[in-house]
Amino acid sequence: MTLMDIVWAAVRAAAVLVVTLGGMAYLTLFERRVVGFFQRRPGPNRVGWQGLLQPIADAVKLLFKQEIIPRNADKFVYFLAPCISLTAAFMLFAVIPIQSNFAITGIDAQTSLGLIEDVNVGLIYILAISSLGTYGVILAGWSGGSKYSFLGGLRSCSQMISYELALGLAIIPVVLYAGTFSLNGIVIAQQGFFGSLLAKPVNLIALIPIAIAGVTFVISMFAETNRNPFDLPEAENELVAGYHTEYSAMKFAMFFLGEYVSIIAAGALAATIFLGGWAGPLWFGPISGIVWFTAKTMFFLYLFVWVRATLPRFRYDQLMKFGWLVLLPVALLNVILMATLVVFGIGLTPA
Amino acid sequence: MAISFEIVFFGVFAGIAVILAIMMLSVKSPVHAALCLVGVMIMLAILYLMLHAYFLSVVQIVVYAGAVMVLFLFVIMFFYSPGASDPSRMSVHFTHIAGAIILAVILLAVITGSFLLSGNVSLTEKPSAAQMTDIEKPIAETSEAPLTEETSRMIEKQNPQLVGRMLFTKYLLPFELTSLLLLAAMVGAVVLARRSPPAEAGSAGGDGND
Repeated sequence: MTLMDIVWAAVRAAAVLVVTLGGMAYLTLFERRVVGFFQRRPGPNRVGWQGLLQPIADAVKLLFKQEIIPRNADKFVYFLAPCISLTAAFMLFAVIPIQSNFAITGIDAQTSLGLIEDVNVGLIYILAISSLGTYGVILAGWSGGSKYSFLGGLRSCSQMISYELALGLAIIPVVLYAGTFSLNGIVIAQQGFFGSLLAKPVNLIALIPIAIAGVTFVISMFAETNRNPFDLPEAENELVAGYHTEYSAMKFAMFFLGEYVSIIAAGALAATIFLGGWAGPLWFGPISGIVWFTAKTMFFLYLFVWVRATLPRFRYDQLMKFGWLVLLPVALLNVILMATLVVFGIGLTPA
Repeated sequence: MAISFEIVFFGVFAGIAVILAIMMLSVKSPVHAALCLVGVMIMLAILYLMLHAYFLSVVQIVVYAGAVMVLFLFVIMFFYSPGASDPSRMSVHFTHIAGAIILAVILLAVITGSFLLSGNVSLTEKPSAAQMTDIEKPIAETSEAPLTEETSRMIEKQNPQLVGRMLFTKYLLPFELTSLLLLAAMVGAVVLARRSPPAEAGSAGGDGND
């Protein structure tokens, strides 16, 4: 490892960071406009053309708001919690392949932008980081010194722990199929399904457990990111604003940022694991990887907003019951199904 | 140049780990102590990362910093909230000491057992070439000589496969014994949870608190 390598890695990380931040800012606008569309109202359209400057106005407002710190807050943890939330959300992007370093693109590994580190543990890394993100929520709820935020934090934490299990189990069939934990490897293994023109013959039997895993994964992702219909932690008619009730101004904004960044990460992940990531049926030059990847991610982001605008919120006991009694057994059985297919070699590519 | 970087990084992360470990023992609030412990776990994971044991480092975070510590925090938070005054210190009871000693004996037995048993499964004797997979071959060939660049790169890439294979062949018995221990912990948790009155199962977190 030379100094140049470190600098280069830092540059790539910074590029991903900047793009993600911009994407997050406009995701808020996208969400508000789309929800407005669902509810037959225009949504924010006053600042700039079609409201395109709205995120900037929001950011300025949040920066200049008064900071209120509760007297009985645990100061250190109180400051630490939003940092954990935001950092964990950004760290998810470290292993998501945005552009391929695969031979057919003609781009060599050195210049590929998104693939910060392609080690064979990408998926477990994702699980690890998302479990670290739980700390931000639970510590925020605890340190605020208020009952509402405490209850919100507890709820959120138990929800995230419960659905993390289903999430982890939903990933396993994909790993069994692809034979690798590397996200880039998983994209390459999917070439037959959603990949390039060089597609291998599609095997429908192998698609069944993958499809079940996909549905399980997306549902758990909704719960992991505390999104409707699983947004119990911030159910405003019960808990004011849940775990970040006691946060104001920039520290609130950090939670907000973290939440939206992890939504983008969730969409990008789902696109990578189940829809073939940067691979696409049509290949048009070096940027096509990014184009496909963005399009697939956008599809999931739209799904997030769509579900938010459509479905009512779960009740808390329903949420826990659904997670433990429906999602988890289904994911578990699905793992067994996929394992059986792999062991008996029914229509699978060798790992 | 290459070595000096690693030494600097090691110094930084190991130093932070030691400081956090000392803090964990010295801070008053149990939540802060738990946080310091998480910090130590993460620093250990970074050290594993520097040793190119990617799989181990990530699993370290999943298992310790993630699952175990979140549950740990949960338990702590039920006893103590920041608005309240000093928590009533839990008195050290005879049973606690006895439990600790028993646990220590069991852990010791597991550790020594794993050493002895893995010795029985011929730690020194090499498996024949036919038994090895294509992953293991280059490693076995170079086990005396220093690793070549290519082989070490391969070990990095195949990290999870190698760990899994070892866990289910050479270290199968220790692995199973450990899972038995975890099972015991789980049974204990169920027993403890059952002792509380049968309230609504899902929302036990919110209710008993105020």
